[in-house]
Amino acid sequence: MKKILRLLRALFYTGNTNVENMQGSGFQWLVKSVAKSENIDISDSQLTKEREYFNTNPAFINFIVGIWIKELPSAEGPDYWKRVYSSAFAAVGDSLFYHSYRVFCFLVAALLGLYSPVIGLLTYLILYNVLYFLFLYKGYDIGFKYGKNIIGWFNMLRINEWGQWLDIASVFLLGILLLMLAGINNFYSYWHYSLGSLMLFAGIVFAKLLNATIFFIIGIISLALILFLGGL
Amino acid sequence: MTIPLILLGGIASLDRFLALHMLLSRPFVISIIVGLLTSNLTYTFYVGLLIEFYGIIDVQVGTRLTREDTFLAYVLSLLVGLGYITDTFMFLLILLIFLIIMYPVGYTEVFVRDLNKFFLKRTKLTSSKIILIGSLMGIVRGIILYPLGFFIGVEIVSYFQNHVHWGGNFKFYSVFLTILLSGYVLRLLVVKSSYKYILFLIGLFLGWLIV
Repeated sequence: MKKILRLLRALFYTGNTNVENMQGSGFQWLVKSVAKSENIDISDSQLTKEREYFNTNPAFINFIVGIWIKELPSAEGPDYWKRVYSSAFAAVGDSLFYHSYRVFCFLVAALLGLYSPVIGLLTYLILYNVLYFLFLYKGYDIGFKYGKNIIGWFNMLRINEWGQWLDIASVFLLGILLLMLAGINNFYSYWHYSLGSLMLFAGIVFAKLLNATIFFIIGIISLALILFLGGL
Repeated sequence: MTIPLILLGGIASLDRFLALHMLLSRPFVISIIVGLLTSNLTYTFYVGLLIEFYGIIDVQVGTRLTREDTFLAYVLSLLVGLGYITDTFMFLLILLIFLIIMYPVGYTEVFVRDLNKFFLKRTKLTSSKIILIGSLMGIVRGIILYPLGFFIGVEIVSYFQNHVHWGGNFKFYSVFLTILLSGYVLRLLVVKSSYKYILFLIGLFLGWLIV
């Protein structure tokens, strides 16, 4: 039950996100609740300090809370390790969850969604949240077990390489998705393949040069012109 | 149906930048849920696919505000789901207009963050209370702004419907705009260039074999 409550709290700890202390209020709230449930004595001055600036990736928050509790008696103090790991997990987490894993989950979901949108929806939510919830559910225990040495545990899992493998899989899935997207809608003619290739080529070239919104607007207007000139 | 749709706006807004972070604010998710609620899944799926391709390349890092793709997906899917958008011209026009409206709507996230800062600095409320207030503000933002966007969309559609009527099924354009944006997704993925394009071509070939 304690683990489930920790997971639920971790889902909301970013509720006071602001530019002043980022997620500091949430971190203080989590530390306070763990101290209460585990009967750990933390001074008021220490707790007040925890409301200061703090930022990490939400999926890794419970690891940091676990490390913080474990390192309370350490010579460097828990805040030193909190600072070290919050920035490291922010970088790893944003890159893994928002950059690579989300794209991979989406492409898998989109492929299945071509046949059944509901299956696609469920796949997207389940595939992504299984890992996210697992991190939130087990994070505190693992963080508490390894403390400041948690980097060894993550290195053992080679978490830095996950993104690369997911990106490789995503490139492959993107190719499958585009062709299936055209095929399933019966866009089989030379005209369709030529237009599709032109669109893809323009996307690849302009991705380097133009902001996505500007390019998207140009794309919409160009297609509207094709619609108008083609008399469709 | 109205209450679930309004609540969906609130939850999506909360998930987007304040709490949960469970992908409930992703365009693909929003559009399919709206499609289920409006019984028009086929078309809203393609709307979600297109806007997800547009939004997924914008990676959330630190305090940076990402594009309000949730709002865009919510309004567009609802207009499509409820049958306000049926022809291609209207689809492209509404997409174009809401790509611009999306920016001031996205800026309200700054306002909510400033209010969060106010509650942190100017009140003596406990962390749990300011987190609750922040989360509620996120929900209220979605409950007000997302349906408001829909009503603005309805007004625009009603105005242009009487003046212009172009094209039939917009799925064709939605698919080709998705292909257009896929170049950006391909660029986002970090794989050595030569391997990337070989893998991508193998994927295309496999896709061709499947269909």
